[in-house]
Amino acid sequence: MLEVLGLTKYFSSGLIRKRYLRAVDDVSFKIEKGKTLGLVGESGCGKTTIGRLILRLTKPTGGKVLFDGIDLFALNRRELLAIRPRIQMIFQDPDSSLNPRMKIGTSIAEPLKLHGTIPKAKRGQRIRELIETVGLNPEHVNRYPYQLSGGQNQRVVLARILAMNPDLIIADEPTSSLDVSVQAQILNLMKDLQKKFDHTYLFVSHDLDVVRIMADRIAVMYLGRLVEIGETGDIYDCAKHPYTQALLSAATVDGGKERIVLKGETSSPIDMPAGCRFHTRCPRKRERCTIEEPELVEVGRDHYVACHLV
Amino acid sequence: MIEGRKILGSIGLGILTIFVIVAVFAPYIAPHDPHQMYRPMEHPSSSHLLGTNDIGNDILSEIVYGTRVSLFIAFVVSVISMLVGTSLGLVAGYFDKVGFLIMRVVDVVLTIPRLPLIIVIASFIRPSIWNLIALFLIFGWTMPARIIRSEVLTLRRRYYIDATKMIGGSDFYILWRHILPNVIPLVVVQFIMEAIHVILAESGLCFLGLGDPVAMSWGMVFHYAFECPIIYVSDVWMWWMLPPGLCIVFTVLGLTFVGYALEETFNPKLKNPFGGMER
Amino acid sequence: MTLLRISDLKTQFPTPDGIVRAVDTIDLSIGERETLGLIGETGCGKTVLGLTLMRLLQSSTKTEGTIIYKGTNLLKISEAEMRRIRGEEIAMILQNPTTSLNPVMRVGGQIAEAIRLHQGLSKRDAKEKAIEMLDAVRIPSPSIRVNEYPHEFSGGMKQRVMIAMGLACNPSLIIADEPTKGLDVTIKSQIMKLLKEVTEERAMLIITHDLGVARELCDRIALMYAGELVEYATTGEIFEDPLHPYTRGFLGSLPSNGLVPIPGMSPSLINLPDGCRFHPRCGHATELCRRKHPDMIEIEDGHFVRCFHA
Repeated sequence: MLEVLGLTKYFSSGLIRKRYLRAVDDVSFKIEKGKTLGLVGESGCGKTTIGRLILRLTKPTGGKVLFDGIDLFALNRRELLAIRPRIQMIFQDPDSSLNPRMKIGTSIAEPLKLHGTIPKAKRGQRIRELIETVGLNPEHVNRYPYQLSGGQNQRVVLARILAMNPDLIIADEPTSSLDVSVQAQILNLMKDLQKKFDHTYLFVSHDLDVVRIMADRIAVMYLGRLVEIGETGDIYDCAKHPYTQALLSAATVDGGKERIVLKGETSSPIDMPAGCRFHTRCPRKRERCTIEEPELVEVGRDHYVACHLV
Repeated sequence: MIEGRKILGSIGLGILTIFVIVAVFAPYIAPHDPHQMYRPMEHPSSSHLLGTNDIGNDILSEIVYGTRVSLFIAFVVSVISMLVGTSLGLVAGYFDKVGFLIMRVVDVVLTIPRLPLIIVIASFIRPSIWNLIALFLIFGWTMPARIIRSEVLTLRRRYYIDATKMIGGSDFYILWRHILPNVIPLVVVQFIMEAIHVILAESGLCFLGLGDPVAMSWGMVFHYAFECPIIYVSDVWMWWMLPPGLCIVFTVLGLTFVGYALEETFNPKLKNPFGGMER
Repeated sequence: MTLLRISDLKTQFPTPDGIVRAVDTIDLSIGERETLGLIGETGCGKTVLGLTLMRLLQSSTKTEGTIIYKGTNLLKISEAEMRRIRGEEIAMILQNPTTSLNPVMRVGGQIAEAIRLHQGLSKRDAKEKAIEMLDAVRIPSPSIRVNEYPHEFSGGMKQRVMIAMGLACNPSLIIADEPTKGLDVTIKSQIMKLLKEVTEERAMLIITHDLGVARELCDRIALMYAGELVEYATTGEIFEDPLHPYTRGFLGSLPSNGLVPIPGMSPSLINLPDGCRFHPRCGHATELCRRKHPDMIEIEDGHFVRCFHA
């Protein structure tokens, strides 16, 4: 369904002495139809940028994105407009994903109106359907976003997206601003919708516990690069990369296990360390790690790791 | 405090309504034709409530007709400034390259000291209402353009703009449906600021004798009173100079009150001081 | 020995829409060197409780009840005495270090400020102490960092500075409001390790919505819902034997526990439901729950629950 090949994005800054921020560096992955890929990493690792690149909300520096066999970066404006409805994105802050001066009903009607696939007379019916599908009440239609809770607003966002009948949904930390009990409602709703409409998800998150439930496969990013990718079960049971292991030990709630506490902080993506990007914080660093950058190698069935130690 | 804003707003609106009614129905309200000449320098009486001036015009009728001129100039300048300023601000905030050009023009215009230059130009051109309006317009659009642009710059980073792009909204559609409604409050406040500025500046120009001698605005009534030497040695100022001055003061006050009350309506955060406590 | 005892504490704000009952009849106590976790979701009043303890709310708020700290009622003493207590006896680590630090003041100066206000040290001695504090919270090269501004610090480092400021006057009790909010997973692990060291020497009240944080750091946990406590017990009992349906629901909605959401959403603190405040969302609600408001009862020694059916 979606194939990302060598996706790269550098942001440049400075007029005279150009400096490059390597936000996304040579990232490749595939998502099968109806499946979910969880993209995990900490802030600034480039995971949100990947979502925006696929949607062409940001211009790429290099690489290719194939969606259903179509090269998204080769499309012109008109072709892009035609394909856009099929790829949608959920943003992390539901409150700023809706126009504060637009009633909920108007917001949901907007995609129907812009596309005109449904005649005007049937729109009301379709809006009622959508509202029911995402678990809102018909009376919410006449309210404004600030009158609803974050969880309800995220449902409105989902209704808007469903109106487009998308194939691929990029969810960028859709529940990071919600309380746990509400987070569970939204995540369950997303899973139900996936089953019902056969959506493909790219689920971007920093929360490994959430990704574990949502994703079939997991990709872990560090400083713009993939460090590990594999089936969810494999990642959880036999993570190979020291960074993945540290993330996993930090995520689990049951206090029994000893945490791996990494020293230091993520390096700046402008002054990238030579060799493996993780070596400055790695508890098992070798000499080789400081010189040579590791490539992704297959360590199990469909399980790739970028580390010299495996 | 919130109640106070409401009361002030109603007072302001009341004042403005009175002046607008006076302006619109001037021929019915004014007791005399302002150009008709009676006996000059008459003191207030039942036939001339505010007396007559040095050439025998009824002062009250002059002021009533003057309301028309003063408010007309303020209204026309503010409306056109807002239309031009808002459109340019929207475009400048949303499209980077065009925006850069527009903002450099704005920067240049804004560096020119406004009132001194207006005085200088006004003293060279033929004084007429339309010339005054054109003169105010040269400067009027810049502040709104700049303020609207900076607001658009923040608004366009909101997720709902991206979300609308994804459901196929064009740039024009996004500007019209999603960005414009969110900057309207700013536009209204800017409109009021501009109106206040124009009323004061116009009175100032007239006072200096740079106004339109045919169209009697409040400032012109004031100006002629000031030019008449008797004003300094008698009570005449009380009905010749004071009334137009008070009209100017009350209009500005009314506009300010309305602006103050609108600020609360547009800014929901002021409504509930404890809102967002938990954030 | 009890260090702080809160009884019958109520905090209310008047607003144009009605009275917000943010904190409603709360009884709590914290022993010396005990770590208490106050857990609840957005809008349950937990932050207001922390601010009430420090007497940091606007003058229009109404506070009733008693807060006995080392034998004195904090609600009865003068503002001058309260200023002495703040920082010297009880320190608060505010949430969101980015806005809690003054951007135009050197980090060292901000720590030294607290020390000088309370201990009357000279400028140079206070700076020495500030360097010492930065070292204590494991900030590398503290003698250089002390002269830097907050924007030169990363999020995790700013949180360390906040902790250093809290520790500066060696208080007996620290109130930490969401100390790990907004931090990356690996940085969160580091901060939790640091907080764990801090809790060994003094009492701490940790206000959080993160059960993982509470489980790792706290001796006892109090759950707050809609302005009041619903369950209060040792950490072990809360996790092994939760009695209140809200506690069970909260635990169950965690991604690692199966993601079973609690239906509905928290009530507004202005418009609270009659009877038990949780009954509209509770699966076990009976007629009694709808009519009568339950009291806190002690089910076992030290295990309090506000439920008729526990």
